[in-house]
Amino acid sequence: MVGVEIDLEKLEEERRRNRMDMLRHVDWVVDQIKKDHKKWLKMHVEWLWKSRKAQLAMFEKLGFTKKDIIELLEEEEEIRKALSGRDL
Amino acid sequence: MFIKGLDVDILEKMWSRFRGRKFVSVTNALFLNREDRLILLEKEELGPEDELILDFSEVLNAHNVRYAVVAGYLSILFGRNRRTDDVDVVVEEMDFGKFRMLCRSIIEKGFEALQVDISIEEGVKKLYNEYFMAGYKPRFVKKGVLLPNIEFKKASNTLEEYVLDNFYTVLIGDKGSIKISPLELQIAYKLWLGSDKDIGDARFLYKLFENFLDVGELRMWCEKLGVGMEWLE
Repeated sequence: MVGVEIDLEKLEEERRRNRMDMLRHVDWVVDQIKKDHKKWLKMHVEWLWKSRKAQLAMFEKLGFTKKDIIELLEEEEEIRKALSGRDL
Repeated sequence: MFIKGLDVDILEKMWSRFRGRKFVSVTNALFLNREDRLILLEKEELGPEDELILDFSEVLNAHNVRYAVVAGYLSILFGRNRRTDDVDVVVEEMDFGKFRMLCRSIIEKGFEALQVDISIEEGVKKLYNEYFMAGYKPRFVKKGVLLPNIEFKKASNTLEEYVLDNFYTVLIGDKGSIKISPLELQIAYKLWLGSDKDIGDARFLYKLFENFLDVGELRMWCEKLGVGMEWLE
């Protein structure tokens, strides 16, 4: 790992390309919603429902309480506030 | 017992945990064996992202494609409370012949590409030349299910090459295995990306594995990327 050289300019270029890729994907999502918003919404709900169910099972396994989850959310909100307006 | 994507060596190493060797307990559901670069994760209920990548990794393993899962999904895998609609997979560069064979197996496994129809030769060529080789990401989904998706990226920098050579294998209960980026590099890279979501991911992984990370390695990656570690504290 010591010998790994990082070309930061190249990484920046990839970050830019990644954003372009994300924008393309957003266009695609918008197209899907325009085509059939009910189908898209149904798919979205099913995905979130299944994800949340798995997440809750994980929290339970790890012994998280509601208080722990609220604290985590509050911490994330603080990070968001601290970083708002930051130029990336 | 049949486990997706596992070979006998890995299975043997997995069972060594039960013989009380090498693995340390990170949480009551997470065990780490740094020496063999193995992580055991007990997860009784899989999320859609887990199911997707377990199925996809089976195809990659069948074709001996070097790969590693990177980015946001890793923190979700280990329990962070957020969602992502894409699972990022870095793969080695491959020639068109191998890419075409892979696409065939991807279809057989019930996937399709979002950008083009890969059931026809023209589609596969387009996906290879205009996306994969051009540095954009082909996206694969389970047929008819558009969320979540696999983002399939060709390794194109030294960090991604490092990840392919130094992956960890995560055994997800008895449900299968995936290869992931080393955590120290992942945390430093997320700090470099720098959005609130990325920093949240970095903090989550750092706090979860805090006592088990190689802090020297983490510091070295942060220095190379030119980022501070203050967000981790």
